Amino acid sequence: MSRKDKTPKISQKNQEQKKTPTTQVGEQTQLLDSLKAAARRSGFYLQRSVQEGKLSDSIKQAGEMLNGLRSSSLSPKNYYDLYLFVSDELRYFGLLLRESIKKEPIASIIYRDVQFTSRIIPRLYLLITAGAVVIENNPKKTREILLDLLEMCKGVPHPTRGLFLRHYLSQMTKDLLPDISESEKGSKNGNEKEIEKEIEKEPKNQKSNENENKNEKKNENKNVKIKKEESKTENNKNLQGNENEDKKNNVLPWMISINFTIQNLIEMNKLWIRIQHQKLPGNISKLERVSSRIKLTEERKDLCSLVGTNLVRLSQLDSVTLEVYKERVLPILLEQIEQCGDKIAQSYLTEAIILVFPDEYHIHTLPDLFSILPNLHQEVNIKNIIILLIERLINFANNNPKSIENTFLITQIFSKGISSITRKRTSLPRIHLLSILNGLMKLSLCLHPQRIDFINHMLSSCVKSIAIQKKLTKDEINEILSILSTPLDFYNDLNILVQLENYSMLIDTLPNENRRIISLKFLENGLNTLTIVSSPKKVSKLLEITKVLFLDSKDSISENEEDENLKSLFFREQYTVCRFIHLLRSENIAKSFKILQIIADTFSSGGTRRIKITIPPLVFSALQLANGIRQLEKEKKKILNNNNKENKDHDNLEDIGLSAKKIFEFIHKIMTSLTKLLPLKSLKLFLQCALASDKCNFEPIAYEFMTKAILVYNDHLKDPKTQYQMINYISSTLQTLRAFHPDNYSLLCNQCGGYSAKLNIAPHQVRAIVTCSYLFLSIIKQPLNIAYKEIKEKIEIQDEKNKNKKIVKVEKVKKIIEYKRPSNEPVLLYFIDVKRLLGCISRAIRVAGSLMEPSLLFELLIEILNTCLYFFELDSGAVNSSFINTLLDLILQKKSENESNWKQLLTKPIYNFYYLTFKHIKLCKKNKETKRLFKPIKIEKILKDFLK
Amino acid sequence: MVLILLIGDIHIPQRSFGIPEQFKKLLVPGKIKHVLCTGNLTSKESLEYLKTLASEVHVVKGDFDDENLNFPETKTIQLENFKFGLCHGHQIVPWGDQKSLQVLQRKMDVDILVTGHTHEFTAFQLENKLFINPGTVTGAYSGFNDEIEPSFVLMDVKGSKIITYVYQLKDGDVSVEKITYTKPSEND
Repeated sequence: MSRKDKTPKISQKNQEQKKTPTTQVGEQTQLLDSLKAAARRSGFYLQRSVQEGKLSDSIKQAGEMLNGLRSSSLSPKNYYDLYLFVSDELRYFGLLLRESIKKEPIASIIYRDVQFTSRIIPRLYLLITAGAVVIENNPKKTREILLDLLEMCKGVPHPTRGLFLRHYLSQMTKDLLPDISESEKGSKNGNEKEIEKEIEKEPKNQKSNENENKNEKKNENKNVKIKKEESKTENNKNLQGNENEDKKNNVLPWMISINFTIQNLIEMNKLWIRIQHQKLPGNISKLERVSSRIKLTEERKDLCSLVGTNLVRLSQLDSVTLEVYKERVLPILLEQIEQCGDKIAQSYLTEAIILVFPDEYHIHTLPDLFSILPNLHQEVNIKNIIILLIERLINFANNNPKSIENTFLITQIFSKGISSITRKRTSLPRIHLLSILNGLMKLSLCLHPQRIDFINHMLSSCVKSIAIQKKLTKDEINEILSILSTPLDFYNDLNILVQLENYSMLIDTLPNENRRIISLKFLENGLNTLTIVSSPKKVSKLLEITKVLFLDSKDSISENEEDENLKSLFFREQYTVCRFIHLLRSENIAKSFKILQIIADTFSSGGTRRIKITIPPLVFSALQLANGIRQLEKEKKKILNNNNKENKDHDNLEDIGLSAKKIFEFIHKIMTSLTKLLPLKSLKLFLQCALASDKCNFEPIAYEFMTKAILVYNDHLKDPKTQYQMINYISSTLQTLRAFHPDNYSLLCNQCGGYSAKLNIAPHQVRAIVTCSYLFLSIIKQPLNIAYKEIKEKIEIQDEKNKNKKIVKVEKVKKIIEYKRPSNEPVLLYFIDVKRLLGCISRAIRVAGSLMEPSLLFELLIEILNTCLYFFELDSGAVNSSFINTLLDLILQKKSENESNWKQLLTKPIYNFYYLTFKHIKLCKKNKETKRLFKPIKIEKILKDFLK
Repeated sequence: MVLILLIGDIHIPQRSFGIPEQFKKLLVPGKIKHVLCTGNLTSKESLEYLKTLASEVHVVKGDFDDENLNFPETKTIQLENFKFGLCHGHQIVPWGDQKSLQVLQRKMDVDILVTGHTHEFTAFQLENKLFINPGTVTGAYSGFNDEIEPSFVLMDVKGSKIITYVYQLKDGDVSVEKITYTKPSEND
């Protein structure tokens, strides 16, 4: 259990400027200086007397030194200054007293001698000093002397002087207060039997005089026994009762300490408050009067720790167990706080109690603490007090997990306490209420995180508190943002967050820009924790909470936003939204599809600027889902093939009435708005859809998507470079598709060939046509693919019908060169149309041949040569050796035609490409596997040419 | 010793929410000298991320990279004794075909050709040249590849020797494979 040694300070200082009339400051400094000088002088003589051991002289000098403290003209601050100096000097006097008392027991004499000092202030300081030495020397007098001193201090009613005098009393007696012994600390719950035993063994503070101890012990024992018998009545006695002479012998020593400290605290508090109401000099102006009051308040606040010392003292007493605290200490303190009616004292003392006493005590006395809060001065900052208490409890709960029983009760007490405060204190600012609710939410999360309903209730209270009043201030907005972040940061799980029904209601109270901040934070939380949200219902709620990011509203960023910061914020938001939707998915296909539909609905109201960004990721999510369905169907077929009908772990696709077809319909729908907005992106997406639907073997769908892509190409693309890149892209996509009936495939090939031939720039045309040549010879990498089997059947039908027209059928198995796929599976080749393949090549050569620029012509011819070598090396018969030889001759011929400027025209990269292609042919002629195939290829002429 | 990161087909945010945490932990700034990215970053945030890993970031254009990012279609980079060729690969027909890649390698006249697009890690040698596809670092969806595992490649280049480390994420665990490649002498 931690007990703070530091006296708490007033938490919130008044930041107002302290304006003090300069003359007054000057006078104060002068006065302080002169008083200090006088005290220093007396202090010097006092030290000398002490050194010489002259007791009566030193009493006189000390008295002189203390005269300064009689001043009523010093400000509290300056009085403090002087007090510190003088009380420090008094130590010498104390030393002499200790020395003297060793020689002869003259304590009482000194005690009496000192009383002859004529002025009351010096006399009381000296009496306290002497009293402390007497108690130290003879603890049995503790009670008598403490009560005596307390009583005598009443003789100084002046607030400043009285306050410091009592502080001195508290300081001098702090180590002398009887307490339960050290070893007793373990059993702190006020078991009186235990205490009794301990006292019997070795009563504290009786070490110095052994002889007296024996008698003392007997007395003590007697006391304890009597005490025990009367403990019930004793429990109900406060200090006033204890002061009654007749009952004096019935009091436990440690009770003296508690009562003494509480009594001193109460008196000091009264004096402290009265400083505020001191009379100001009558000769000052109204303005000076106001500023003097402010200064006085500030100086008074600085003195709070003097009063607080007593609370620290109480908290340090081992005898103040939970029971003692609850029954005898706290009630008196709270009564005093409530009765004093002073806002500064009420704030300070309440916070100080929370700070100095153990948190465990607070847990058991919460209703008592809360009972006074509504009744405190209207200007007391209740929020600070409650937040402080909450922070302490959270801290305690975190450090001592599972040590708090009945956590619900705690939250309940807070809840009730807060509502009674809001009822009774109409002046409680809304921002304070929000802060309190935020604190309470944190406490609730800490004590019973599983009670989401509590959090939801608090959110609702926040909403209610906002609904009543006008526009939110900046601070209130920040507090609401903090409230919204509290459960988010705590749970770090959006699946829990969406269960908070009132969360979106609270977000909706905020202005748009702040809603965006918290919504973004929400999505980022999901991304940071990688929380998958798999229920459509939850997804709906999630999107409802963060809707400001998805919807086009009046004050959302406009289409032509000029402000760069807002623009980049918008893109950051949409980037996060796009990433986020990949977390919204389920293992269950039907649920996943439902989720996609919900997202699409939300996105559809986002306006064109958002749609451009958000639709592509949604398309990919859908494609992924289609892919998932396909895999599942594959599994299902396998299971059916194995006649294993017992396996029911998979989704039953017929039951949910969902096939990948529906997904493609869905994609088709969401993409309609995109084509005009983003033609290029749409074209690419249509190709992606074609790839996916082809894999599902949905020929009509794949055909539709390919047609759409080509349509976009035709209607929207005007830039020659883009046209070239895209027709190549369409062709190479088509080249991978396998679901088509040869007729349909052929139609699409025609389209690609046609658009390639129409390109405006000749090299583009050549290259695009070369790409088309690959359409007529395809490789199937995965022989087990469903799509492949279908094709095979189709091809055979085709074969019978058009035997003479097309070379179909050829099916060949060939190993791929060096790299082998993990499964080492063979690669299947099949031709579709050799004639058209060669037609493409011939056309490419023809177009290239028309080019005027020799270097470009060579580059294209070498590219064509490489393509031909590709087909040749597949040993498919599509391109034969004589075709290659003819091409090699053509290249040499074109070279010789341009021999004159060959070296100039042929830049290094083209030359290297040519040389490396030649080197490749050479290698293939040597290579065991390709030797036979490459034998007819003639390279002698080229070699000769190179050697030239 | 030079450490080179081969990475690509990131596809954030269109196809993926991000790079797997297991990879992010491995990819720490300060160790890698060059990043060779095969494209399809699809957001400037991805490029910014790569730039945090190394000062030298080489990027080529993928089929889904925005036109205004201005990445080149191909790029050659000389590192130590090796000439690297970088290309996304959607321009090569048939996609991912080894012989077609070989044509590109001859055209670019490089020792090592790095391409992407297929979302599948591959590494092979043809006629003493090295061909590497680091796959997709995010495990992004692909229309023509079913079994996708997130992967990237680190290359440790020392003179004429390269040690290639392949990082793949399989069922949540990172597996590392080592491939050594030495550049043959030019005299043949």
